[in-house]
Amino acid sequence: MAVSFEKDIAPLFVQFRSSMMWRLDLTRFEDVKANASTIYSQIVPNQGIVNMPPPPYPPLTKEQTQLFKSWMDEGFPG
Amino acid sequence: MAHSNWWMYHGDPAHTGLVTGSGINARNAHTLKLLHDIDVPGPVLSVPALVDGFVYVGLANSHDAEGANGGQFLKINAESGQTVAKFEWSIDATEGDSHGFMGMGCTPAIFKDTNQVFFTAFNGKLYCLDNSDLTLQWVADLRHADPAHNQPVTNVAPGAPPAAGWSSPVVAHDILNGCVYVGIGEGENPGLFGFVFCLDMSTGNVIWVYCTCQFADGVPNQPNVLPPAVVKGALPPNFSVGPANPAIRGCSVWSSIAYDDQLSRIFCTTGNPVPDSALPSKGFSNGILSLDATTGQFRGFFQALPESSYRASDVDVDFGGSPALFTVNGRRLLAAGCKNGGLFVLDAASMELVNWRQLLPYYNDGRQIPTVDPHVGPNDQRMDPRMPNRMSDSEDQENYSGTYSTPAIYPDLGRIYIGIGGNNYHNVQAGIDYATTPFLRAMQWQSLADAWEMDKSDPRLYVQAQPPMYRTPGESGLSSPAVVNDVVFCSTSKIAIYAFHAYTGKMLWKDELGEQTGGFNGGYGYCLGPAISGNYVVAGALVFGRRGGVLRIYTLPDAENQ
Repeated sequence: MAVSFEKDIAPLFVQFRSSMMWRLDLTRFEDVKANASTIYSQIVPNQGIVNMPPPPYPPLTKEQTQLFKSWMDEGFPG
Repeated sequence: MAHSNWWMYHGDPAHTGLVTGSGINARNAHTLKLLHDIDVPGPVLSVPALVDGFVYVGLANSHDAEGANGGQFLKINAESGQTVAKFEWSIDATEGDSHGFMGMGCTPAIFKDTNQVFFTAFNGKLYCLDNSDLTLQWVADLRHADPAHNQPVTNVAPGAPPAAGWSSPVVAHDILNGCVYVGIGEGENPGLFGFVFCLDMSTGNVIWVYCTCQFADGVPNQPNVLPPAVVKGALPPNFSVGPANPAIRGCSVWSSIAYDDQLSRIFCTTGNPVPDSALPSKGFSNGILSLDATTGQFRGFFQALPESSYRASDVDVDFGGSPALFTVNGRRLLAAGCKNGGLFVLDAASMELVNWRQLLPYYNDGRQIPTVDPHVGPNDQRMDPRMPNRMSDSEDQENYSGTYSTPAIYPDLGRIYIGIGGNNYHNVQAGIDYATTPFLRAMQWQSLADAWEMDKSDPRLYVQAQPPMYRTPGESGLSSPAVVNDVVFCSTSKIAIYAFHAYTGKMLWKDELGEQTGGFNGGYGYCLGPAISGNYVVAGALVFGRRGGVLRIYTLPDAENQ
């Protein structure tokens, strides 16, 4: 089944929305699409460190980061 | 008496932070009222300008830009709160700065005589707008070569942050046909260089460029001599390529350059070198560079003393704030603070050290306080870890607790005020050991001794500045104070703005602009200081929620305004 921004991606990020409004709106399709590669680089481990989401939130699960990757690979469906 | 305009970074080209002609004083500061709380579409990561009743402010990111990748610059009527003109720009997501900022983070320079507005942006460009309607007059690219503006430098390296503009422009209208100076660089990219640019105000054409990365140890650089790596094409006349790239990179000018019209010189504070080291560090790093304002010729360099670091193991000890110039007994001096916690006063003509002190506290017997500037290993992810001195002293790490502030000068009382503390997104300390460290220090300008009464505790604390000082975990003075009559204003990472009695330190007024975010690296919250002109006080901030930003305008009540 195809990944959808409204159904699958925005709900992942809604709890972090206020914290990240200084940069972009994580529940807004246009903002997330335009910055998808940056967001992805922050939510996956880099040398064992995950930058986003910040403490006290736990890192996204591997399934959740893979979902985001699939959304990117599928061409950012709305 | 005519009041001063806050027309560039820290109020004037000397960056004194001193406001004249205002009706705000210690008697009425408690009556300051919120006039407007403006819903700006993004965070404010700079001190606005305030000229003839208009606020000029830029956004660090704009939600109105496509994909939130871009900036917005606003001109706002302070009395009505209405935006009267706007300038917007969008950039690609890869063109922002290394921290995720896409707009701008400097104080604009508003030069009324020529009706011009100047600001740098994170995309490495210097913009010049028409003051009336904020239409574009010219834009010079200082990240990539811009032949149309006589600009030969391309300062990018693959896979790492590009050079960015954080430095607020300084205007010297009496030099040549009028010049504007900015620093452009990037301290976290091992491939990049730092530069000071001098441009013609009317055209945006580059007059000279000075590389802040030294080509040869012990030999000053010459203006217009460029590292081979930054030259991609033909050079304009009067430029040449150095024999080899400087081995030491970085040394960026992060803050605004100060201009002294008496000496006809500019003074540029510099950041850490790449590769980095504890002091002494190589090249024109972690210091203050003096250049001839007309020619760009080297006039002197001062580096923070090794013994001035709170710990000898402090590294990444940039000068994050600007120099402030002032005169004592006919002698032109400058004061500047360093991330290692040192405050230095130099003779501006000779660049010789006159006096210095450590801003961070010690125990009364002179020992370091373990919770001040703790050093932990990069893999230690504990929040607020407790480290003994011997461990911190043996581990080279960044001092997150020094100063990023530009001093404010109060000539009537012979005092210097400066903010203390750093950013709050690191686990090793929230930028300040709040229980022992004041977020604002008041000093006598000659002795640099504390000017506000201190108690007899260990370490000694300001008496009348409590509250708010020493009360709120993580509340640091990452901002630059301003002095108005007998009042000193400062802002903090709480995020709050305060007015203190300049003589005693007693808090007279405060406002809380918002909460810190829990963003990107764990916590951002900035208000970099107020702009003050006449009876208006303006402060912008990066805050939790809203659209990431807030802009507030305060004034005295009507009775006090009359």
